[in-house]
Amino acid sequence: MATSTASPSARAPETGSGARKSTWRRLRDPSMPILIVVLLAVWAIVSRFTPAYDVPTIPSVAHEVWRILTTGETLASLFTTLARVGVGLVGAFAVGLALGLLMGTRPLAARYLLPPIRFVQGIPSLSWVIIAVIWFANVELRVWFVMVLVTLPGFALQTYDSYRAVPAELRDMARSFRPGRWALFREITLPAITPGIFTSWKVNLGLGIRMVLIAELVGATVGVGAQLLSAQQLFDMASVVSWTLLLAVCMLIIQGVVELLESWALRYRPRTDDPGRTSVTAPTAKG
Amino acid sequence: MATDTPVIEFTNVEKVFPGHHALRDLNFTVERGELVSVVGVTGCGKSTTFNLILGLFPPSAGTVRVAGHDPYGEFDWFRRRIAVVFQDSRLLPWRTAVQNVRVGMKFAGVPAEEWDGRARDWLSRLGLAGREDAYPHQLSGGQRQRVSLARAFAVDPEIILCDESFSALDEITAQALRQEFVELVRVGGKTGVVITHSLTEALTLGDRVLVLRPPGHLADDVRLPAGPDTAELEALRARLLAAMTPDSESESASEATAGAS
Repeated sequence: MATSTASPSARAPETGSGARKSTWRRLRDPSMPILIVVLLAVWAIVSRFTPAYDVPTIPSVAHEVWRILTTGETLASLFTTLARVGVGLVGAFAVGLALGLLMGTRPLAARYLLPPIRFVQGIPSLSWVIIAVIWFANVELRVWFVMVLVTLPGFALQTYDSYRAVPAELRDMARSFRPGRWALFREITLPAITPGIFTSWKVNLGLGIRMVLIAELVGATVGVGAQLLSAQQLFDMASVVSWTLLLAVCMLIIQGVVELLESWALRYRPRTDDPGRTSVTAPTAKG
Repeated sequence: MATDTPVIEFTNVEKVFPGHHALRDLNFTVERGELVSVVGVTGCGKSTTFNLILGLFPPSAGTVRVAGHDPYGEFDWFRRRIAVVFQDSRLLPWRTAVQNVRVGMKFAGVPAEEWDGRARDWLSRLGLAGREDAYPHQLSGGQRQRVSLARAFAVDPEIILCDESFSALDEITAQALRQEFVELVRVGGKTGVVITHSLTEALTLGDRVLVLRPPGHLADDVRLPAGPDTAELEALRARLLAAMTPDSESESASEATAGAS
């Protein structure tokens, strides 16, 4: 019955192998290894002409990294910090998501919740650290409190904005079929706010790691922040650089995992180099 | 649903939005199995009429009955009884073609074990076999609208509403889809209401044409003859055009049409 109306741009759906090829292309890109080699060379040269407490040598840092990774106590510090980041972010995300959805679905809630959330967002992070130290004796509670207070507004506001950006046309389409609440949330709301959720995670990961370090610096005996404080008191620059490098690498790995999850969850999006791509957000509004 | 009562019945319907009187004393009926076009200029109340049938909001005064029920007050009663094909396909960008058709059935409460078979069957009937796993951005405009048609028909509703569903397509694609739509409505024994601003579409699609004129009242109700010749079509076109023209311009439009003929 039907006549074909295929457009020239219509093509077979992109499969997982397409995404793998793209990752492989990125890995084969020579710019990153070149950059690392150049940085190491500059570091090696500078460290020859400066004292070790200013710029440590590469072998001393490598030795320190190895010591951290092979000693139970120091490795525990690294994992403690990562666990604090994880627990803090998950807690902030759960509360932020709930608040964002509540504000999105209930205008009255938005009227009362938005001002305090924006106010909390405006408070300097260091103030929260000091408040936490005064309020709580328990170290874990201090860190968790700071993490949640600093990252929650980002999660809540991003979820709220994403909810408000769900195209009304898609909601009306769904409503025309008379769906249940859960089906509507699962099929329309959740996929529509997912890009915003990933954005908030990527932003808050960096913020979270900075906050946990500050909180540990002033209020913890275990964790990378505490180790950094100890290294600073001993003028042990190799240790400072090692801890910093390890933490940065861990965060890069976590960011990579988040980005992989994002590419999987948003695999429906046309690639930016797709010449035939069209908008995948709101359908064109009617005049 | 009783066969002798109208499927859609508007009685003295008014709809007022803040600062805007969208419908005023609108009366019409659509019988079971009819395919009716609703035509009118921009702002004549077509979309408001459409949304009232769909139950997205209540009338300000008067009564709207669809299959004897209040579409707004008994919103959930219409699950699986009514389906819509919108102007833009309104496919979920995160779902493939077959998943989009399945989603309509999921929303409408069709048993889950029927989703896949029905979805693939309807996509195949609408010429999309082999494109089931394509995402909306990988389909042409015509293909997307076919998926949208499949999504509506897969629910097997009694009433199908089209809101300018073919107006965003090129004329050849639109014509092909119109033919398929009419065939599917007839074969399935559905009742169809097609909102359109195109006189050509209104004249070629259905059994009747309802003409709305601002501010949202019925200006004409024309039953179309079976297999009209060119002269009949031209006369009908002139009549519809005159009826569509807002009151202040109506007289001059009629005169112009008479002069041209």
